[in-house]
Amino acid sequence: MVYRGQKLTSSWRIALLALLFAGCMVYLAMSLHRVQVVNSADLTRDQVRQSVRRVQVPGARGRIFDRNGICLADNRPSYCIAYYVEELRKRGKWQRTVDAVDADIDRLSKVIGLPREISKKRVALHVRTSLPMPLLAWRDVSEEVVARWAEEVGSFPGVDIYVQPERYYPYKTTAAHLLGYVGRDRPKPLPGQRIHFYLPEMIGKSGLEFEYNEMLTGVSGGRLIRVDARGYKNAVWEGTPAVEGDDLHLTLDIKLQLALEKALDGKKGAGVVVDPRNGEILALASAPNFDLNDFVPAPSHVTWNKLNADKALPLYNRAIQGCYAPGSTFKPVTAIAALTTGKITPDEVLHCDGVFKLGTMRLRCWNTYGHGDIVLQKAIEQSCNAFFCELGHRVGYEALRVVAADVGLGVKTGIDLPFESSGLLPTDEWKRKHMREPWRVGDTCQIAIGQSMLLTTPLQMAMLVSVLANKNSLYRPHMIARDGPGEIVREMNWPAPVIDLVRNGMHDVATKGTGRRVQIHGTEIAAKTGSAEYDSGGKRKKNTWVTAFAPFEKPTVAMAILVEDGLSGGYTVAPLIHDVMVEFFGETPVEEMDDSLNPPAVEDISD
Amino acid sequence: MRRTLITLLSITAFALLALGIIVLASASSEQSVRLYGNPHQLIYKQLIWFFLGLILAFIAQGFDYHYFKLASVSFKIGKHRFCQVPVLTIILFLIIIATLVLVYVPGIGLKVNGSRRWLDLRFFRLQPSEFAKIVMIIAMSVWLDRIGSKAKCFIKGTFLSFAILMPMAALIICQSDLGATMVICLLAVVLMVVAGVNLKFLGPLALAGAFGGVIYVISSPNRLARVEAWLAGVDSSMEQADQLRESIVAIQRGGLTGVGFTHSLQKYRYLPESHTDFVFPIGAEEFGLIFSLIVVLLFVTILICGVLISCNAPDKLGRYMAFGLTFLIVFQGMFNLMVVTGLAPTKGIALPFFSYGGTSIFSIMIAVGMLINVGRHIGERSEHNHTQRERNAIRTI
Repeated sequence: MVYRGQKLTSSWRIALLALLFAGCMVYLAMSLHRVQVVNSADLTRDQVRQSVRRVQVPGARGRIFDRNGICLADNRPSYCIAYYVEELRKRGKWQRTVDAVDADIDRLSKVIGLPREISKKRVALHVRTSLPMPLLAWRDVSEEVVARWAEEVGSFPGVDIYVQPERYYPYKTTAAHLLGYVGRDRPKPLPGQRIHFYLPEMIGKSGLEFEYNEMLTGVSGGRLIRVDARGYKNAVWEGTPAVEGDDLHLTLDIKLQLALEKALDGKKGAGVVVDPRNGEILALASAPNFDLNDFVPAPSHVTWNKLNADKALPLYNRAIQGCYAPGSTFKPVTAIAALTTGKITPDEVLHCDGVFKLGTMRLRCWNTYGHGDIVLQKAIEQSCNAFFCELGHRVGYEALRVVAADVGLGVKTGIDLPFESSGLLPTDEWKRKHMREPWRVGDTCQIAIGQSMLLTTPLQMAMLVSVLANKNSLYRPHMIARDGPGEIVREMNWPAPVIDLVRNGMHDVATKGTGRRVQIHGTEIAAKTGSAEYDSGGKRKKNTWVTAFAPFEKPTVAMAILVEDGLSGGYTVAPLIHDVMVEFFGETPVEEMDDSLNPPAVEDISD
Repeated sequence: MRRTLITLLSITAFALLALGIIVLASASSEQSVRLYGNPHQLIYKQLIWFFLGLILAFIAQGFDYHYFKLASVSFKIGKHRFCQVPVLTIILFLIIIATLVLVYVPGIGLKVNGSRRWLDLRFFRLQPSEFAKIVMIIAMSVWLDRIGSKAKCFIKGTFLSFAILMPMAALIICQSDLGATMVICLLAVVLMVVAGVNLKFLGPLALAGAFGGVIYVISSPNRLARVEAWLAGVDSSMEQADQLRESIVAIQRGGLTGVGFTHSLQKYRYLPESHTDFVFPIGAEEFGLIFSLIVVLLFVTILICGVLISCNAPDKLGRYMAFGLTFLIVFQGMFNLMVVTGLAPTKGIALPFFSYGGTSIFSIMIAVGMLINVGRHIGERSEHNHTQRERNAIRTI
């Protein structure tokens, strides 16, 4: 092209600039290809990770039944007033949303007539951390409150009733220690999955609720939600459904439990009823107790402080945690140790003159006049202290300790309840370490009659007596019903005459000895009473025991009951055993025992 | 040649506009809901600007660009004679300066996101800096055309050219609109290069300007942080890199063929400004690499058409204006794409034809119209024609 007059000098400059441009464009196109095709895959993954959140949805908690299918722990619907913060969202800063929700809670508080349960701080925390979840402003409200809310529902957008399952214990205080209570807490994440949001899940805090928490909880489901950059949800996918928790079927018999608790009512003590044929726990109680429903959804401060301040320690499960000297209920063990080691024969006569002397030591028998000349079976029946001190002396502590350990003392029984105590079966070593004294012969004699350092739990005593009942096997006690024979911890293999003699002695205790009050009509019972003195603020008090099993020939039940601060095993505890036996065997007493209403005779007071 | 160029340019511009409307229809929905509660409100508005812009483009392509030079007066003040002073250009220049100042006047100036860049015209928000770019092209072209071969000397070619640039650049940088300032300065410098300004003078000055720009960036922690985030790369945890990270996530999500129209996820508040400066990633997410490359190709087409028009323009004024306008369109497009792909630090430069905003659409349509106008004069015998037109023009004024 020809231009006249004007000389266009700058074509090369234009060309250069245009080339520069074109180069940039090519580079840009290449970058786009790299970003969009080559690197595409990894960022897609990142992006899903960024925008998808997992909400853990708990499965319904399993229920707890007794052996006859009666429900002991159930779920009931609990009405909560929930704020769906997303519907109250305000543009701009988060604080505006928080303020709006907070003001709305105040307004609703007046309408439903309940004071606020959550602080503004809690609201702010919720908005910051779990926006897509409902904010529970009031938990477990009454139907009346729900009705008041329903009347005004139009003026409270973003508020709804949120129904969540809450634990319910139909028998209130019954088996409270055993069942335990639940709290709400952050759930455990499923393996390999993150929880972004959750509602507090029920978690067992004590008793069976604690022990079998995983089983009861079931498998949490997940709901996936997609959130936008501000955290508001814009889509929900139902993920994996939650799996309901398994129900627990206990070996417990609620009727027997009720009878046991009725017997212990008003006392401090504990009782364990066990099936000696397989170790199933039929009843296990500790008194005083508490109402489990007070712990739902959470114990109020008043309740909690009251329970903790109570000197009778109602939260303490005496049946498995309480350690007491077993007193004379230990004597069968001494007898077995003496017989199996051959330190005494069934016919050997010893003399009791009311006091056992060994060197300078004096140990008084409860019968200050002495039992005179007696044999072993009679000594069991009369619970002669002097006789058993002599036996202990003859046997020696090591042999005695082996038998005691064999029947399960000094170690945990392995029951499926948490926080079990192992009791104490002392050794020379233990005494040197804790009391800085060597073992003395006197200690052996004391332990031979179940006093001094020996400590057992009522459960251990129940298991001990069930060994005497079935003559051979120590079972692991358990709460969960299962088919097949019980789990045997140890077999004793005592010679038949030995165990028979001891059992006969215990039978005599129940028929004519110190434990006559256990008798029921139509069933023969074997029992052993006991009492152990302890020092309580300068006053001598007694922990009183009775262990028993029945029927005598083929026992189907064994039990141990302890009452703190009783008069004597025979007087205080034996009637309780009687009551429980009546419930178990269905006997109605034909006539009142002659002496049951009389003040205790001398022989009753001491075992 | 002339016809082919104009047709190709028009089709390309239309294609970009059509793509822009489609992409924005999806990209603006979230923001539209947030602002108006209606996902279509913003795209309706954009369509209005689009049609008004078409009218402006039509007017611009019919308005002979020589009038910027020829609508002039000659007068004498004392001993000094002023010959053929281009009053139209000067008036436009002064109007722009005035509006750039008006931005600071309460009542008419509008403050958005802490910046005063807008004039509130009740029904319309005007951003004078967008028009300033076009006026800068006109003024600089007229000036460089006027001085002709004297562009090589320092006073006229370099010093006075910068004197034209400076007031506008200063006013725009006062609005802390770094993107527009950069575009205007580059426009002026590029035009000077094309006009043959001595690079011995221009080079050091341009370097000094660049240095000033660096100082300006460093002086503000906010701006510095942005550049640092860009330098640190997408994977850095800096908050300022968030937008870029989300932008790249959007582009990567697109892959080869995209996730489908309206299926963008990133527009849901992940990617801020997804309807204005960061509209391209949404398009890339929904339509994939195919879309991205088509956009690049269309801008390259505009570049080729513009450069050909510039090279074949009948006179220097046409050449300068055509190149300036081409640069304006293509550079903004290219720079925006580089920003959203992380090749350049984040500056507020809208994507021509795509980004939401009346002023942006108007200025780009006017630019396209003017470019077509220059194209229409290809092949005219310049000198003779000029004198004839010159005479006519002088007579009319």
